[in-house]
Amino acid sequence: MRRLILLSICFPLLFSACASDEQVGSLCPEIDEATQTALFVAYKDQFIIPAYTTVFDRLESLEASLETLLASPNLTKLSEVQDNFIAAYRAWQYAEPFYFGPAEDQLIEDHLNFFPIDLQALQASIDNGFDEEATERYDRGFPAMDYLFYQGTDEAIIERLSDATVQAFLNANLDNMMNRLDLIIQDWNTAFGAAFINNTGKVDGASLSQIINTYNRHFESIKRNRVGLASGILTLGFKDVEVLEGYYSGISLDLLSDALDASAIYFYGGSKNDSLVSLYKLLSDLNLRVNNNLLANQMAASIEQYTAALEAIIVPLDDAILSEDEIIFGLYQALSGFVVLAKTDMPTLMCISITYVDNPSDSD
Amino acid sequence: MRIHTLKMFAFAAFFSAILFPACNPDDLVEVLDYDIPAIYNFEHVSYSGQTQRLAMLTEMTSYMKSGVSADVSLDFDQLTAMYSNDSILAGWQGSYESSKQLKNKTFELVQADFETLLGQMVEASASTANYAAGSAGISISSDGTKTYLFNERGVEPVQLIEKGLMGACFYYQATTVYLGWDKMNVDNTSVEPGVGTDMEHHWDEAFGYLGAPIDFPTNTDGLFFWAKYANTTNAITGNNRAIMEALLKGRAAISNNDLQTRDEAIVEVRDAWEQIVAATAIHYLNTAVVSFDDEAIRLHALSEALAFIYSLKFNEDKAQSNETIDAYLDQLATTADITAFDLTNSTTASILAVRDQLAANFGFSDVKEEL
Repeated sequence: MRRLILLSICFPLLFSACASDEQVGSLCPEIDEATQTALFVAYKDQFIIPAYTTVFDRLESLEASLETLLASPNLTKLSEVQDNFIAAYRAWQYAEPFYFGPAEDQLIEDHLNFFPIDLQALQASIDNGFDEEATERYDRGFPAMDYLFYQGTDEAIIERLSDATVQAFLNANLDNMMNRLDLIIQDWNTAFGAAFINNTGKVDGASLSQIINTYNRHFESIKRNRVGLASGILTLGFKDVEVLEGYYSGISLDLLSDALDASAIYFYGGSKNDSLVSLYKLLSDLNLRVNNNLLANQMAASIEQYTAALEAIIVPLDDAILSEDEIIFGLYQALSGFVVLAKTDMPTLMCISITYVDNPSDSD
Repeated sequence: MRIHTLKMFAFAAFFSAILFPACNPDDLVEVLDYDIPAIYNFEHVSYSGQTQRLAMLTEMTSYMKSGVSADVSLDFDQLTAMYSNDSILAGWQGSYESSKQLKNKTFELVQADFETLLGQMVEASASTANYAAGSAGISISSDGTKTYLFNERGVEPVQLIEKGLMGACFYYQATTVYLGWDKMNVDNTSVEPGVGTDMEHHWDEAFGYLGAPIDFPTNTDGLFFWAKYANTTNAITGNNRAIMEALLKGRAAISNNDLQTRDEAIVEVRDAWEQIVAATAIHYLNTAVVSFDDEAIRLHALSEALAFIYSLKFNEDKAQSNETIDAYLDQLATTADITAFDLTNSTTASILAVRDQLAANFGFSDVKEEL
């Protein structure tokens, strides 16, 4: 143990002068079942099911335009496919935060948005056929389409999309994405959704725990995968913009903005409004405080900070990473500040455990 | 070192200071109530994976150096197999567990660069000519005692690979990975016999990458890689003791669950290790200047220096940014790309300029010519 030896007279009565003014802790708050259920219903009906449904609908539009394109590739049809792709990819940002239950069962992140694309794995899947059960391949989903629809000149893309094996891959990939989304939507509309709204309590696996965990997991993935890795902040200063989400289509900043917007919406229950059923309102009503300040207000202030930091980026994200170190670092710092509130303070004060593993490590 | 002795001082100080009325934080003296041993003989220590990787790089280097013979052309498949520990193709002399390899522990973003360098190593080994700018081959030192194999740009690939991997693998793993947040914020209560707690084990793995015996620096026999280079400049820098004491301090702190002291030791290890890297780079730059007219020695020393400077990138708390390190490399080799270094137009002025910048930035200005 490390010990402090006092060299001065510090009688016990005087110790208060040296004491920290930090809040020592608080008892776990009671959250009645009706409050919890109202929150779960709002999540399910206002956010989760609509988010998945929107992605599915936009993928249907993409599927239709892709069918037309592949039948007879030309630049006009390619442009329509690209527009539908962007619409679907941006919609996905609002569904990605809910990685538990049916989404986890379907390994939906793995199949829809593991990035960056592994080009060797993608080519192998094109050559050998799409394996819908394969996992951790980094060869599929939106990142695969991002590459196939955008990498190279228009002529090169048209030529690529005229290849029968590429066409087969694209169709199989899209089928896989939509099939899995369909199963998720079904599950939310039936058994899982019903169980979710009644799964009160704070233990691991309870709905509140799932919401808090998935909220943090998603936010950390934004910080790490959409900013930290490409910018070199997490990689010893080695920048690598090709690992950005949506690198080939050039929509990385839009996707990042959408992801952060989604996170804020799910915190506020929509736009910031004290009356909406939301995590924000719950934290306010419970009067949870850190250093005597309302946690809800601190989180709201932090959201404003990282939103302002994001808005300071006025060029494509890859350009900003390569030339605007201060701005990117400012964004990363702002995101890190929010993590402290959301991942440390919020679960601690609510007495909910963070159970996801965000730093898998090897043994030797 | 016995921190215990500080207790007596603190005890006396307590009474001598009893008349002072304030409760001032400056008056607090911190002591440890546990011993920091003089040698790395803690209970439950294991770093066999690190020892195996040091041995793999030793074998790999030996194989690469065999390419200097005119009748030896290195085999690319064998060399890459050694890098990734494909035991069937690697032709190891030693015995290594299949899970241990150099490649997957190399900083991920530069693994491909090292595979490119392995290819360059093999290409150079195919040459049977003498080296000349634009033509790969061997060059012999003026005194006839040293023979090196250079590529067409005057770079000795084996140095970039060996010393580069010391940086991108060993140094990176020790200072950034094992002393990093993920590996240091783990369980420190459950002891696995012979291995220690997870936190202890991670610290031991960092120690393993130093390549030092447990009684280093009293014992300087059997030094590998970083420990060997620490010892090279130790008479001037005192780095042997600095890094070993920091490693002993951190491990003792972990075993006594003193995470504040552990965190101090992390900073000290990273700093001391970085000093070893910088001092070694300066040492080789000096060699290049002193032997500038001896082409073989100059190019060999510059290749070593480039690899050590490049290695500075892989410490999480590095004192210099990648941009600054790249600027050093660019001054010496016309590019910061390790796969494209070009030493055919080096000048003493550019070497000394980098030497002086390094010395100033790492606190060696007073001894820069002695290193």
